[in-house]
Amino acid sequence: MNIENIRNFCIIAHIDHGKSTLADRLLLLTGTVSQKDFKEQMLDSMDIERERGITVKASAVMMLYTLNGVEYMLNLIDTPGHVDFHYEVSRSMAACEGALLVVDASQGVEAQTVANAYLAVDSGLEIVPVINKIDLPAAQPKVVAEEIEHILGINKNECFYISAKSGQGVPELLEAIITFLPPPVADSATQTRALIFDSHYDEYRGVICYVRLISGRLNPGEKILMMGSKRSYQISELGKFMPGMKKIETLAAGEVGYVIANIRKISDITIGDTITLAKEPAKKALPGYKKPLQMVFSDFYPGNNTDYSHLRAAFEKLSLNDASFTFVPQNSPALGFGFRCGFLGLLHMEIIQERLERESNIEVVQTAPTVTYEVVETSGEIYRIDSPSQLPEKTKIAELREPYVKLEVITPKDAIGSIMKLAEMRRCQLIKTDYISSTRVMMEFRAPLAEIVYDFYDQLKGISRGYATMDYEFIDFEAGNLVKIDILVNKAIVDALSLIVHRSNAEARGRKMLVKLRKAIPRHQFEIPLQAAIGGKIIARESIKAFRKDVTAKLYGGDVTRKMKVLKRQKEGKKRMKSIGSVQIPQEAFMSILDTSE
Amino acid sequence: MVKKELPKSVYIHIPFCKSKCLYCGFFSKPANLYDVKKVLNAEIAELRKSSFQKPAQTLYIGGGSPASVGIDSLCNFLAGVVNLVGNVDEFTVEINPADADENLLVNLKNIGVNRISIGAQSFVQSELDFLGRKYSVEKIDQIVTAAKQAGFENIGLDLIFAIPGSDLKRCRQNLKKAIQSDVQHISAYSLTYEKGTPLEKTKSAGKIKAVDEDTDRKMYETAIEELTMGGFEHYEISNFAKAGFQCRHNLTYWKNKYYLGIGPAAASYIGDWRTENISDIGKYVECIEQNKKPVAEKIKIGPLEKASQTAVLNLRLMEGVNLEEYKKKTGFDIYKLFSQSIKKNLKLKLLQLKNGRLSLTKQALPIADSVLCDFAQPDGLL
Repeated sequence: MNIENIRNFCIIAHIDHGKSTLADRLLLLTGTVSQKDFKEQMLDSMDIERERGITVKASAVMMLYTLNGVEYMLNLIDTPGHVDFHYEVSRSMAACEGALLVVDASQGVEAQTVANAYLAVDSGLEIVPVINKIDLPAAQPKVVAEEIEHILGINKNECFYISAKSGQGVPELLEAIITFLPPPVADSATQTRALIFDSHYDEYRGVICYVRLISGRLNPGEKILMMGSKRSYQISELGKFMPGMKKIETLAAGEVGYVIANIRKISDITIGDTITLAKEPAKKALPGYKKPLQMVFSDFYPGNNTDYSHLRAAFEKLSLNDASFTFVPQNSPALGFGFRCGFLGLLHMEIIQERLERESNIEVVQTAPTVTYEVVETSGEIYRIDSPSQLPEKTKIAELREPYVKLEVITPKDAIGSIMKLAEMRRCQLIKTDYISSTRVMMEFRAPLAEIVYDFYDQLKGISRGYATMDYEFIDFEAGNLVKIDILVNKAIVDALSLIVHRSNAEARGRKMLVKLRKAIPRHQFEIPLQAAIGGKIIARESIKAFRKDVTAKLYGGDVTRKMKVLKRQKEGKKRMKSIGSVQIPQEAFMSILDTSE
Repeated sequence: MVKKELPKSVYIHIPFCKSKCLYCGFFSKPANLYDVKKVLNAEIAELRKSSFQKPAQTLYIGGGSPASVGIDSLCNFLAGVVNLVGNVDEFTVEINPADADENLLVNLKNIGVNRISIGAQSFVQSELDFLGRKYSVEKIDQIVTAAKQAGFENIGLDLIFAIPGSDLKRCRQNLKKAIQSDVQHISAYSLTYEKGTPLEKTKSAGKIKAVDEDTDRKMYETAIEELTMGGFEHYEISNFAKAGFQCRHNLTYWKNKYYLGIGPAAASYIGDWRTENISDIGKYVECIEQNKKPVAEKIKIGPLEKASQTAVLNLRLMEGVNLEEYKKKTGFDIYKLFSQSIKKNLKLKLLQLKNGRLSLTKQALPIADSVLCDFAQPDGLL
């Protein structure tokens, strides 16, 4: 295939705007999938993806289409659209030359449309704007075209109007892909360089690398070198996705396909790395490679129906197919042995939680997510911590920095007031407000990640009746007036309950935690004082009163059997709780106190 | 072969009442719906076929209301029982003031009954009405007097406190009245809302409000105070007796000794087995007529379970667990089985160790179950 006749492109869109449906339509139209074999959202391979309507793993499929007697190879690279997976999106884009920007005609431009569009522009992609769902009664295609022009500077006359569902306008779009998107640039270099833009783990064949050949070629049997990790392997199979995996003899520059090379662990390869030939390695690796940044951390402990080894096995299974999910052993005097898990973001965490329950049928006790903090010690040493218990003594800390993100919110204008209030409560600083249409506004904030990592999104949806959308991107660490709240139960500090918060809402937060704890811990034979402290100073107090009466009035012959059962259950109930000193704390209490809802 | 130890205590259940009190969780049915004679005969038959030490040491006739079957039926029945059981040391019959009179008491005395347990419950009419008791406060006094006149020297009466609407003052008044009636034994119970009873349903529906926890506790403490001052020894969580008048039959339960239960729903503990009889009166009679054991449920009590039950039951008594005797009876050293529980409760001052006995402390009494549950199963076994 002449490199001039190749088109590598991706579809970028906000969630539910029709990316997957369009991909389906293209597969059918090009005959890549026959009507008989077709099922909806073909490229979303995991159940979770289908159910949640999101794409988590990128997928690449080769389609062949003949236009005016010439055969073209159209490689569609399906990208994850969610904010958590920015890095993966950017690597998928690095494999493309063009992008179809899909916007729902009834919803208009949303936060992820914008975020992904900017990414595409940054990646140097040629963008074809596509307005979808024009068949919906609420569709306002012209308005949306204006929004696109306003935000992205793309001439509204360049928009294509389609209904991926019915197929209307899609043949024209297919032509546009060929006529408007550029082919890959022929790289004159002779050394082979291929970009790994994704991977997945197969139980039988090991890790499958998704690659885009930039220069040179790859053949089965060749020895390859990963330039970033410096590991070498031998290609056992080479192929393309059509959409199923199909073996081929050679992969040439400009093409997209997969490589199987007896790679046992997904963590052995890194997205964004460059594959080159061992016998004639390239001088420089492809740009843009970096380790994915984890933003959110949470501790997982085995629940009642599980033990530590089951949890470990479950995590190992999950990590087979997810290199950006990490877990390290963790021990808490309160909760025992568990794992500290790292995620790219909240959605990533939710997906892992769900997969854990679904695939391994495991119950866990989970602490609320926390973020990374950067500590600058008085000695000058700088390091990062991801748990409050790792914080050194107050006297050693010169500066405590928390991560800040650029937060973009797109909302109907009537929610601006409530959003401003929410932002203020969460210490977000408004950078700018931009009217993207007569009714919708894009607000940009500089926000502390800690304030938005837990339930900001839910709150946002609540106050905007579900219409607002958000996207965030890490900017930097900034020193803040941050303090650690320690919780004392019956006069002893329970480290699993410590939290780093901003000084401004420390008292309120401490008080709230105590209220939740008071409700979650059962009464004991003695009164239990609860205290929240900062740097040794008590800032809030609660108390759990002792129970006053717990005695069976009558216990005669006929009552023995029944009463023994009741007493046994009472003893078992005590056992199910974690003992912190002489206080029994149920596992639910650890989660509930970290919930900041009323 | 180890000679099987036979029960020395016999309990006979008369499953009849004239009317059911609103708080009652015991098994009983209206007498007029049944062929009472047939049922009582069946019980005699069951007794005849059972093994127990002859003569037994204690005999306890409970219910329901034994007298609700009518004085003649009851006395004939008891005569038959005495024939089989022999001359016991303590022969108790429960009395509902509504169903009793002088005549009954005299007859009972003649049969050999030497202890009367009167279900007085309260000396406040509104409280009696609330509970569904069908007699007046005056009747209680009459029955107590009649019992004494009939020659009974061992009389006990039951009190219920923490009845909705009650307060500490009224509780004290009730106690003082009970003490004034100059009986030998008083049981004082906090009102319990048993599942399935009309009282519990009314409470669940929010129509009545239970006495609050703190007041309930204070009432209990008041009962202990008043009764102790009144010359009664507090010997079990809910039971008080003048010197020499502890209820020997009930002590069998708390010392975890064997006993035989006769009649529908009656419980037995013999050898390694705790059994419960069929509750359904008709089915019970059928079983007996077919010469079958009328057992509905039986549970084997293994050595560890026996050790746990002994600990829990012994601890109900103020004298607690005699460590030496415990070892002889169960084969276990209580410290080995319950080391953490004992240490913890000693530390919390809810248990005390005195003269080779482990017992509940005074402050543990109102929350005794929270201590007792630690002995429901040996530590480290769960």
